[in-house]
Amino acid sequence: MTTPQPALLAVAGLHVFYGDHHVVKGVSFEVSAGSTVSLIGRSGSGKSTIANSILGLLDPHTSRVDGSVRFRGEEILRLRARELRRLRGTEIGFIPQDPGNALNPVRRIGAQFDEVLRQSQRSTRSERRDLILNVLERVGLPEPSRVIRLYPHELSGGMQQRVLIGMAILLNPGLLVADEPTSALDVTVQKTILDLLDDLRNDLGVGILLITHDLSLAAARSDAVVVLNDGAVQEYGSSAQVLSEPRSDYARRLYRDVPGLQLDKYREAKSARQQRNTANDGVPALRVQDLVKTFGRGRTNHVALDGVSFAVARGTTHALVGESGSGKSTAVRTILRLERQDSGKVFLDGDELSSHDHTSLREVRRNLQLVYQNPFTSLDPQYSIGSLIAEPLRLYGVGSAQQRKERTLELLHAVGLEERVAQAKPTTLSGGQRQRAAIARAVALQPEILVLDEPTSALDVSVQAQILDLLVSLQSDLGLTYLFVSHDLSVVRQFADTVTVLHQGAVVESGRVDEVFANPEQPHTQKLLSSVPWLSTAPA
Amino acid sequence: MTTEALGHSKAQPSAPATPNRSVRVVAGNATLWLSTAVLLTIALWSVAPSWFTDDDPYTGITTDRLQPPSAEHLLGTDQIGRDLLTRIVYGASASVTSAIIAVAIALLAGSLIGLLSGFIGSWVDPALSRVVDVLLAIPGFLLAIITVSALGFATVNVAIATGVSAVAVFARLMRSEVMRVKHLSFIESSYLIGGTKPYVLIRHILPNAYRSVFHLAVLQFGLAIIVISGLAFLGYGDPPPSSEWGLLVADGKEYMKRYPWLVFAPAGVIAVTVLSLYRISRIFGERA
Repeated sequence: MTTPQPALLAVAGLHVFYGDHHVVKGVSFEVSAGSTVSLIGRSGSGKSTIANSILGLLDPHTSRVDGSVRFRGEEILRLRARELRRLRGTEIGFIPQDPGNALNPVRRIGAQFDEVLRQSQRSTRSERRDLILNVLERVGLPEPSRVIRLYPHELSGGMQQRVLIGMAILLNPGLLVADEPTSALDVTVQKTILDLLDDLRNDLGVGILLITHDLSLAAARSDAVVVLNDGAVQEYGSSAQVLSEPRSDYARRLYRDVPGLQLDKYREAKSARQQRNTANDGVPALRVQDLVKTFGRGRTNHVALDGVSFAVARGTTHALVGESGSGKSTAVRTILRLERQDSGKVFLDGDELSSHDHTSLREVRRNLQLVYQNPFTSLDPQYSIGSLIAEPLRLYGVGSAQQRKERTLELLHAVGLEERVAQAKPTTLSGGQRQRAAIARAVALQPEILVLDEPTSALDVSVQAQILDLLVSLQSDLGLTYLFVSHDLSVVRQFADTVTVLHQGAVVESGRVDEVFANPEQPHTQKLLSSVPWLSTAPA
Repeated sequence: MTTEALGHSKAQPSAPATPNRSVRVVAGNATLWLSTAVLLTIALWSVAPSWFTDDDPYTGITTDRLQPPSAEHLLGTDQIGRDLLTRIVYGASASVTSAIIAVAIALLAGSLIGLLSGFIGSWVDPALSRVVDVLLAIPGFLLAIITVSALGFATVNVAIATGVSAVAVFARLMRSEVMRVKHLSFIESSYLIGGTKPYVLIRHILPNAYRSVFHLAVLQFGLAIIVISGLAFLGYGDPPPSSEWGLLVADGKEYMKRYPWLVFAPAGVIAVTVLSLYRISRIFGERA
């Protein structure tokens, strides 16, 4: 949007059909050189289909495309396969979502780059090598001459993504299509990758089409945004304008659902919790003391937890924050006694957990339940939802069969599911519905503490907002205490009362969420917070 | 990512039926129906052979010996004048029963070994796995011959031997399925809501693991028929006048040069049965 030159990429009236299924409905937008345009929408909104039609990757046997996609004035939709390949290789670069799957695991990085170059131009081996080293340096990989000799698995996720970006810009394309380029990466890595894309845009003048579900990321990084819902454009304009005055209902709703834009959404619920909590006695519902856990022995050992301590006051929400590998999951698994700690103690209501044997542990566990990250694997596909929700009641012999049936319906109602869902198998439900069912199953025994292990990270932003709403209201109705594990700092800021930041198995910082987030004292916390695309401006 | 992937698969309906493809679909269904019909017929042969033929499988009419196929004797007659089709129909019972016994032994013993091995782990797994390795190291047919030699020559023993030779395959598959399933989060979740180990094993692991084992069982049924016929051919089964299919082939081979139907008819029945079983097992394979 900075320069008035003709558009690099112009999509006009694009329709895509899969059989009778109308997936993309009349989408139009433009990307000019040196600018970033974001396509925003939840899964199934057609954003990846649009990207695939721009790249000419739609299978002509299963899909039908109408409309026009012009790249530098040339109609892409009418190109032959050979011309498309040339365009894809040299003019349009693609950056995939999951870098782990996009590289050939059995070939060295250098060889994979060389393959791209050899297909497109005649040059000597040493010329190609110099070019590759230059590109690797350009994408910020240290010691390029070492990197070309490595295999993909020897690189971290962030480095793999840099390699892929390098491959995409290798032949100096005019346009980069990036499909959720950072959703598989940690926040701090996310920031560096997005910074790199910004630099490339500014230095090389490429146009970037950024596909994302993350509204706050899109707002911070792009000049224009296209908001998609159900294959149709809901809103199209400069990002500042779309975000400050969203005109469509859909964009406004999306806006409300993004945690980073609604940090104080649960302020009232939080202060109510605080008041109730101060009326309580001082014994925390959950206390963890000096947990140490080491995996492996000898030289290959890995210290997952290195003296972790924190406490969670009754009826409040405590967040456990950290990047992947920081020890969050190990901490949770140790608290639930799915792993045994090397040393340290876990207290539930002042009662030490490791003192229990198998039988009495079963009684203690009634009070300590878990909601899993991925609702697609946490429910047994063989049984109906009703049976899965009633299962804990049956196992602990709660009530008669009739009472359990009534309680199941009650629970379904409490998590906002219809009664007929009781007969459904998990595979027929959406992710949000499954997670609701998983929550119902976890609260069936009326536990005091619910451990939420990234309960929304596998879900769309709107579904996430609904699940968080549900969790907040369940908490106030049932007086639950939450241990909330997350890597998403916006959600933590919005949802939790207190927070513990973990880094490499050790506690970095701990305290009230608003204080820690306002004045992070430790460098690591500061780094974490600075990598979140915060938005200070809120809509009127 | 998961939701994304699901969204895509939902968005992709089945491809438009090109002529080539629809031909293949119809042909695929035709072979499926044909296979089902074949297996039903053979099941009926083994339950009620007298519905299909009025002749006696054991006493021949000497004047009618070595007749070529005709309207009266559809598959001809053998060297002492017995109707070959009647022999085959009456032989079905022996072949099918033996195959059922064999598969049942292999399925039960193999599944149990695999289940314990995969579920308990610790020292049980390596111990049982080594036993399975030893069984796998001996060629199946040889193992069957050794077993039947030890038990004595009879069709029932042939069935047991065939079953024993297939135990290892089931154990291997069951073990790997159990190991795959037991690390899924819904299994862990079942412990957290108060499930005991035996409970989780029976209610959650077994139902999610049995499917591909069941697929293997159908496949092994076909294999068992081949192995049992082979053992009968070599004379390890019941002696004549039993009409087990492998024995019919063995009897016929003496006259093969001039009266080829005596070999090809029973051999063809074995082949068609096994092929039908493989076709049926493919449905389970697709669903698993």
